[in-house]
Formats: sequence, structure tokens, C-alpha cells
Amino acid sequence: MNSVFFKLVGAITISVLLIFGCKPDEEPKCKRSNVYLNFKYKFGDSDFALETPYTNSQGESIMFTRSDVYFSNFKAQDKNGGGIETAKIYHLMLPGQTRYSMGAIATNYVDHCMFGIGIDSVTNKTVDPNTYPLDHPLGNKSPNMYWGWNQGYIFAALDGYIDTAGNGNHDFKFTYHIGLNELYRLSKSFKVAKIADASSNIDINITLDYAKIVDGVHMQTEPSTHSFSDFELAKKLADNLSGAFTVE
Amino acid sequence: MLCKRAGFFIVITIFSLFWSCAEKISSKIPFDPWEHIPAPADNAITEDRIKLGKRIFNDKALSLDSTISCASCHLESIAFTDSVSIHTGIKGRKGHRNSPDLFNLAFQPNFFRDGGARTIELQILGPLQDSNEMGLGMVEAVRRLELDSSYQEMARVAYERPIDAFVISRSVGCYIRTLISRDALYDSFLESGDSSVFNVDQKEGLKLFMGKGGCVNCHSGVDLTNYGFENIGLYEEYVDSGRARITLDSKDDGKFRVPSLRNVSRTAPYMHDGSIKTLEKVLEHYNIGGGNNWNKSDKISNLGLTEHEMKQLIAFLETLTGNKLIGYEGI
Repeated sequence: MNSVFFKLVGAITISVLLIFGCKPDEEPKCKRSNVYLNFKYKFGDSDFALETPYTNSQGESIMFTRSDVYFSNFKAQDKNGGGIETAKIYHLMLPGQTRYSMGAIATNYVDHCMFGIGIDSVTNKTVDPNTYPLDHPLGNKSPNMYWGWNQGYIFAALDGYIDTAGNGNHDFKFTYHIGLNELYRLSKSFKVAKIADASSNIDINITLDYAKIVDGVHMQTEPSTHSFSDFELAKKLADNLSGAFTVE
Repeated sequence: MLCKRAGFFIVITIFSLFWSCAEKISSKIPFDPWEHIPAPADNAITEDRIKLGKRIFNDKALSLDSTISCASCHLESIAFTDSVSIHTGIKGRKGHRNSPDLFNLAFQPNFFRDGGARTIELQILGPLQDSNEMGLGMVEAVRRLELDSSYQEMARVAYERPIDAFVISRSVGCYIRTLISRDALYDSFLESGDSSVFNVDQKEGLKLFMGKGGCVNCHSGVDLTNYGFENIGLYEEYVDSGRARITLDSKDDGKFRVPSLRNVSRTAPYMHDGSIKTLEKVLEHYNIGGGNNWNKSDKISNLGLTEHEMKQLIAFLETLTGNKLIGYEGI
């Protein structure tokens, strides 16, 4: 009796698996993949690097000395427009690093993706950076990425110098520190159509164009914002930043 | 204890009926600070934590050039203020505002004169990072203190972990939270309900505080603050926009926290920028209804106090002075 029962259960189980189980590429929800965002940093047509002069849309020669940008809340969609569950991960994007893990997802295909630029309002106004280790993206940083006075994260810190005299000396400082919940932005929803490779990795290649971040900003007359102090300039930069990402 | 508290509430009720505004005196009086000091779940108050926090609070290693500590601008002898209008930070740099006193912060809902910090543990980042104050930042502070084995040992004892940002912020927070002033003559009155603890001028000063002076409209409760933010017409145009810096709302322009009046006779100079040097001058400001400002609080109006009445008000304000720190007494 027992033997017959177990054989029956086994047969049903195998049948169910055969009928509803995974078929390569047709039922991608059965596969787990690791998602990575690979950033390429550009200034217009040139590769971007800190301490390197570039000419902005106003014809000014500028040089970035700092670029720290938070991105978070990666979202992915399948080909039917359905959301794919992703981990809540925060990253601090630094020009010296190009590849960022967005965690594992339960599929081998991503059709669209998007992410937040900055820190979402819930985390921004509830998290205490002192509770994280220093090497955690949300922990304290040097230079600071958390305001001590109006407390919240600095979503993007872009500092550098302008050559105002046109003599090769970049000696006029610009300081663009974008924060405040009102300036949290989402990227566009990018069409990526990426299938996991043999190592179960999905690599999404994104370009960040710094020329677009400062496009339309007259940096000599608008050299500084800490968001609260010149909110309109910070808003313009936050909007520019969210539109400065493109996907290959 | 319950009977004592019940008796106290009855006295307060009678007191409230006698003076129409007296209901604004809260019944929230922690008779036993150790029992009543609120603390977050991750930072319960212990003696080891207070000791560690007090040591860090007094350590000049927390400033970029090791010249100042938290205690440099918050001197215990003058109610944790520093007697200057605007404090001086590292390299002789001027800060932005007058150093506030640190008493009874455990009961305050948010911190800084504009309310920009939401917890005691977080507010330490303000002065620590500010290039006009300590200019160091938490990352470097951790690196410095973790080299000291005695700090490591104290951190392990207090928090069962090596010294890090959590331990620094929590221990300093723990120490500050225990800076409680509750032994003023005013407290004797609150606890006993017996106004005979006051002399005649102090008693008349209390009446003026609650009535003609209108002080209680903002300075209410046990700590004599409603924890709100008000524009008191100090300037026609404020260089420092105060609360509006935080809310980005012009309706908050020129508003600063209503400070506690605990130990007010020892915390001169006054106002957010230390621009008024004496209590007498503060009362003169209010007596004429403050200066012109488009956003001035409608609670500020001409009071018509006589010189004698102002002296009586000051006599009452002096009864708010405590002589010892109850919270960490003996540590």
C-alpha cells in the first residue's frame, strides 16, 4: 500500500515538473541571474576623468576634482512590463569604479530597467549613517556625503575648478552638492533587452555624460549650490543628472 | 511615590485655575531622572556609556587640528554654553550661531536652533563635520580613536564592539542625554506647589511670566519651552533664515527654536546669534514688541511692563537656575 502510494506521488510530481517545469529561455523565471550595472564615464565625446580639463557648453574650460553620486532602488521589468523583484541596494558611484552589483534576480532576462539617483526619502530621513560601517555605501564618508546641519544624504557632490581667465589655470571653484528629498530623481526607463550570459550574469552598460550634467549652467555665475542655498540651481543640476544617463 | 505625584497634579490643577495660562505648565516632571530619561532602543543609558561619552565630549582629538573639543563651546560651569556671541572653531574660524545650552535635551524633539537634526545621536555630526567648528568628520574621528587601546576597551565594555561611528555617536548621545537640570528653586515650587519658596519679587515675576508678560505663550512646560520655532522680530531682514533653511518654506523665515529657559541667567549672550548681551536687554526687546519683520510672530506685541516689573520678571527667571547635574552625578 505504502509502496504504491509513494510511486503514485512520485509519478505525479515528475509529471507536474515536466508539464510546468523550466524550459530554457521560455520560462526564465526559473533562472537566477546576477545583475551588474557597468558605467562608462564621458564628457561629450571624450572619456571622463577627474583632474582633466573639458570645455562645457558655455565654452568654459572646467575640471572636476570630485564626483560622488548615489544611485539606488534598481528596478527591472520583464518583456510583458511586469516588475522583477530586486534587492534594495545603494551604491556610491565613483569615477574610479565602473561595475556595480545590483544583486540577484529570479530570471535570466531583463527587458527594461531604471534606478534612482540619490537616496529615496524614506531612507534619507530615517537612516542614521552612524549605524553603518564606514565601508558601507550609507555609512559616513570622507569627504562627507551626509549633511550635518539639515540632516540627510548628499545625493551628488560635484566639485571642481573653472579656468576663468583662459590661461590654463583652473582656479575658480565650483561646488555642486545636491540633496533634499525634493531633488531625488528617477532615471528614464531604459530598454535593455539583456539575457544572462553563461555565468548567469546580466551586464547592463550605462554611460554617464558629465557634459549633460552641467549643460545650460553658467558655471562662473552659478558656481555653488548646497541645495538649500540655491535650490533652483540644485534642481536644474538634479534634472540634468537624471537625464545624463544613457544605455548602450 | 504615586501619592506624591497625585498631590503634585492636584496642586498644578489649582495653580492652573488661579492663573489662566498655567495649564501650559506640563505635568511631565521626571522626579527620578534615571527612571524617566527617554533613550532610544539602541542606546539605553548605562554608566559605562556615559563615562565613554563624557571622555569623547572632552577630547580635542575630535577636531581637525586637535585644538577644540565639544566642551570648548559647551562649558559645564555656564550651563554648557560658552559666554560668547558666536563660538570660535578650528583655526580661529567663526561659527555660525550662538552655542546653545545642553540641559534637558533628552526631552527635546529635534536639535539645533533650526531643528535640522532629528536625534541627539545624529546631531554630533553637525559640529564634528563643520569646517568652521571641529572640521574633522566621523571617518577621521573613528580612525583617531581606534588607535587608542583605552578607547577600544571602553567601547567593548560599554557597547560590546570596537570603537566606531556607532559607539562615538551613541556614547556622546548617552552622555548629553543625562545632562539634566532639575534642582532649581522653580523645581521645588513645581514639586511642592508651595509658592512660599519664592520671595515677593520672584512670586510677582512668576505672575508676570504667566500673565502680562505673555512669556508662557512660548516658554511653557517643565523646561519652559514649547519646542516650537518663532520669529521674534530681531531683525528687519535676517541674514540667517533659521528654520526656513530646513523647510525651504518662506513662512519659516527668521524662525528659531524657542529655547528652554532653564539656567537662563547663566547662558548670556542671548538669541540665535548672541546679539543681545543681557537678560535686561532681552526683556526690553520683548517689552517694545520686538522689531519690524514681515514674518514676526503675532505673539510678540508691546507689553507695557514697567522697569520694576521687568526686574521682578528677572527675579523669577533666576529661580530657573540649577546647581548640579542630576543625570550623571557621581560619574
